[in-house]
Amino acid sequence: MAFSSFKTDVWVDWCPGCGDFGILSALQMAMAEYKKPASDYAIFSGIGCSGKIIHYVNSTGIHNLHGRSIPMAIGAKLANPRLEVIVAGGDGDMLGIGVGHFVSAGRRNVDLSVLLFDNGVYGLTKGQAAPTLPRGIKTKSLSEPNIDTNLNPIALALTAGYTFVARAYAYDIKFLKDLIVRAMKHRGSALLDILQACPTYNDINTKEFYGSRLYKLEEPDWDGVVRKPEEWNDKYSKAMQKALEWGDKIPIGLFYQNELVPSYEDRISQRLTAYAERPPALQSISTSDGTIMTDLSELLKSKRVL
Amino acid sequence: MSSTDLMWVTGGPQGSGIDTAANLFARAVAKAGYYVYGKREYHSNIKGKHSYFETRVSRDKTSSCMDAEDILTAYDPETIFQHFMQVKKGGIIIYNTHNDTEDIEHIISLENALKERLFEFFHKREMKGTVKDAIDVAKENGALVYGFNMEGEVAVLAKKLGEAQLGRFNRYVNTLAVALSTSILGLSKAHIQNAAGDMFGGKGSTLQENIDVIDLAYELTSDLPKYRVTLTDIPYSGHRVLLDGNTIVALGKLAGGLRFQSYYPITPASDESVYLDMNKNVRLTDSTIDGPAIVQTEDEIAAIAMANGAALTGARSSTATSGPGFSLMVEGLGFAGMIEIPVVITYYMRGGPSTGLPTRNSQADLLFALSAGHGDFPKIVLSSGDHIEAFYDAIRSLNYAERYQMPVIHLVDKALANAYAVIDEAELSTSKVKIERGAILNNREDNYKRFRLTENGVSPRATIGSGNIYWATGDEHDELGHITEDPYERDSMYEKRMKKLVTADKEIPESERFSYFGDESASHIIVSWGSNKGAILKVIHTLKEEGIDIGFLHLRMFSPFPKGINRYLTGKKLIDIESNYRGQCAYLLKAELGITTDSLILKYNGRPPSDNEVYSAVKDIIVHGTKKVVLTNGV
Ligand SMILES: Cc1ncc(C[n+]2csc(CCOP(=O)(O)OP(=O)(O)O)c2C)c(N)n1
Ligand code: SF4
Ligand SMILES: [Mg+2]
Repeated sequence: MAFSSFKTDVWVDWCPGCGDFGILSALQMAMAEYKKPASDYAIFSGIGCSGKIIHYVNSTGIHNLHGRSIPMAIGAKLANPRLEVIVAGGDGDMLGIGVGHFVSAGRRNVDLSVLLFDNGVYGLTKGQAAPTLPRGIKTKSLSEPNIDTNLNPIALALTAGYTFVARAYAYDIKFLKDLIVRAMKHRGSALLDILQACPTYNDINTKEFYGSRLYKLEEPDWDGVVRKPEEWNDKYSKAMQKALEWGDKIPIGLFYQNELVPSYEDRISQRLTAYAERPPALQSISTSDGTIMTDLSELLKSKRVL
Repeated sequence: MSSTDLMWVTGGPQGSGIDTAANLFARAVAKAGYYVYGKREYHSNIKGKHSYFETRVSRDKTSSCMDAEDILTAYDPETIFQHFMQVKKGGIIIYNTHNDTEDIEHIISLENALKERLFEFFHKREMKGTVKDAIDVAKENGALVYGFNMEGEVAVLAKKLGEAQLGRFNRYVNTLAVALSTSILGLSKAHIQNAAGDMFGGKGSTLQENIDVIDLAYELTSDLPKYRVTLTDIPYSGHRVLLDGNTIVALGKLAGGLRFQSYYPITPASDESVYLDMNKNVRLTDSTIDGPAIVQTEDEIAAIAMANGAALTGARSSTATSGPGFSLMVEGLGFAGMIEIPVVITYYMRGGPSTGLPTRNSQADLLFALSAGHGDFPKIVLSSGDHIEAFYDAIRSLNYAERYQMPVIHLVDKALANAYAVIDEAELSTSKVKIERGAILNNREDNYKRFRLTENGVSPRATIGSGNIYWATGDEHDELGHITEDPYERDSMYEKRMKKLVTADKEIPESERFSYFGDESASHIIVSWGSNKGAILKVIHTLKEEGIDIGFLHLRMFSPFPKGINRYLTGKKLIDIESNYRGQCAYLLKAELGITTDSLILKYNGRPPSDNEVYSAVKDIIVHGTKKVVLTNGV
């Protein structure tokens, strides 16, 4: 399917130069390349400038409450694991108000791809500090330097248990697109931290800022994929160390991937007989005339006193 | 003896086997053909604090309790102090003489306020306040007391059986106490031994030891006079089950095709989810094994979000919580209202505000449930009055949600959630209700409009993954689901959503929304809701026998509000009965119908109203025209 078929005719109302444009293009290209029918995708977005993305993508999209797209996406994915579920949201959305869900998602390792729009600010509410903005930094939108210490999304994702942890850059669309495809292919929770400029409010983390600092984690120098259990300790520790690099040099690429961890869907399959074959959304609950198909007799029998 | 209707009570420190003891009793008497309704009262505590079961045993079905106790079975000291004044004249106390010298001062689990009341009570009588003192007072009040050294008796038995570890046998003191009471009630020993068989069969030597202890109890009591009401076998037909409110809601959800439930643990809601989790592999009539995914979430915000997400895929979805959790779900509820998600929230009401009385009864969340969420959006709010209603309401809630594509809040008060009842299996029939899924779009539609404006407000719903593409947003949106702030589009979407409630109001029959009991020509009508139903039914029956006709309108659906109740209420003296402070249902009658209630009977101490206090209050109102009675009974 052509990349253009994933466009809608809704006017894209981001500010000129916003990093969100690059993310949108990369996502549409990735979806086209991944070759699933458009109706098999479900994108859940948060609230913020970033959250509007679903309206610009020609596949099912749910523009959610602020901070709640991860649990909502999990609900949809668990009810119908055949869906290709993508979460798209801001750093305020997922690391501020929704950070509890962000962390809990890692523990579950549900098969979904989380695209974190990392611009250091709360764009849509006019530039307050987002959890990714370092302490002491004063963007033009702030009256005083940021008072809070920042979260490190890569380190947090590694700690939480995400099994695919990567960073990309909104203006390197091909590299970003490739990572989105890999994240979708990955079986388990994938976090893709996407560095983006917000030219309107963040005059620190600009194109120029990133341009000179970013470098790619690539083979043969870097391979974060855990292929055997014995490799885990080494690769995980190295990824964590890499996660702490932020200064003159900022790494982008795949920090860590580990498909040896069972997904939540695998874990449910162990407990719910029908799950793999007939997930909840696809099960019949009544006959064609609406007759209830559940047979309660065994359950009632176990409660019999007479 | 067609009038058999008695209260049996047992209590003890939480975690000491009280649940097992009460279960044993209920099963045993059920086997003789009696109905049982049991009320469970407990603290927010795992081990040590006083919990108790009040169990009503009757020939006919009941869904309420009486305050006056026929039989008090107590093996620990605190149960005596909590209940000795409740035993009726001629009633029986079976207690543990081992505890005779224990006094109030040294029972650390007694709450200070009660301690003080007891000190004062015994002080006035120039008593120290030992178990023996309490027993003497009870005797003065006309109770018959049977004391046994329960530990001693069990020890003798243990020795006789060659049981070296006495400690192990101590746990049978509960069984002994229960069996002593069933013997004095004239219940056939076979029933309690069979009940023990149901409960302990397959658990190694436990069953035989329980059987031995029961033999001992029946021996010890063989020469004692029986209670004036005896539980001789009575005829019955069909199978009967013993179920509590949480479980029956879970069964209703399974029958209704629940395929996803998310929850965060909270009393008194999580027992439902835990039961679902344990029984999620469900057999269908075509022999396949299907069932819901049950997910324990990180908080209630995630619980409603996950249920919302799952519902979008076509899986019937719900979550269960109580006040504190529901408070957190409110934003997600509004989202479901806005993007028209069929989701069910089972809302177990406990005492609030804040953490409140976590394990006690309340009906103070009615107005909150109705108005929860910012902005106007449609939701269905219903509440159940007893176990059977809760079963069918759970199924219907799933239907309503899908038919009208909106959130449904199913209110169940704690008293019902934790009450266990013996129920005729035939009453829980899956053939009485159909699955109604509403307008679901199964084929692919070009240019599909998820929020198409329709005559009745309901738009054909495509589920995610079914081949159609659509957008949805919590922002105001157009028919395609894209954001709009156009004033005209806003109006039409707003009205479309709200219109669904009008459609629901037209389509949902009155029989699912309220019940009227008693004579329609009665001058006084009681209006109430939730589990108060049981006590009120008893009271209007008693009053009828006294020649006083009272009507009873039991409200079951609050949104859409069944305005048809008006025809029963106009021109009548109205008595509103509720377990809250403000009279929330009375407030609604005023708001919805412009009707003023004449008198209020309110209770907010965390214990459900009993037959006798409702009776006295109603009588007071009829005779004296009293405006407001606050009920305060309960331990
Ligand atoms: C519960 C709630 N609180 C606050 C808001 C207001 N709000 C809208 S967008 C936003 C911040 C968005 O920042 P971010 O998630 O970083 O997205 P960005 O705009 O930067 O893409 C906030 C706080 C809201 N919509 N809901
Ligand atoms: S405010 Fe910033 S993030 Fe939002 S659209 Fe404008 S540039 Fe992009
Ligand atoms: Mg941001």
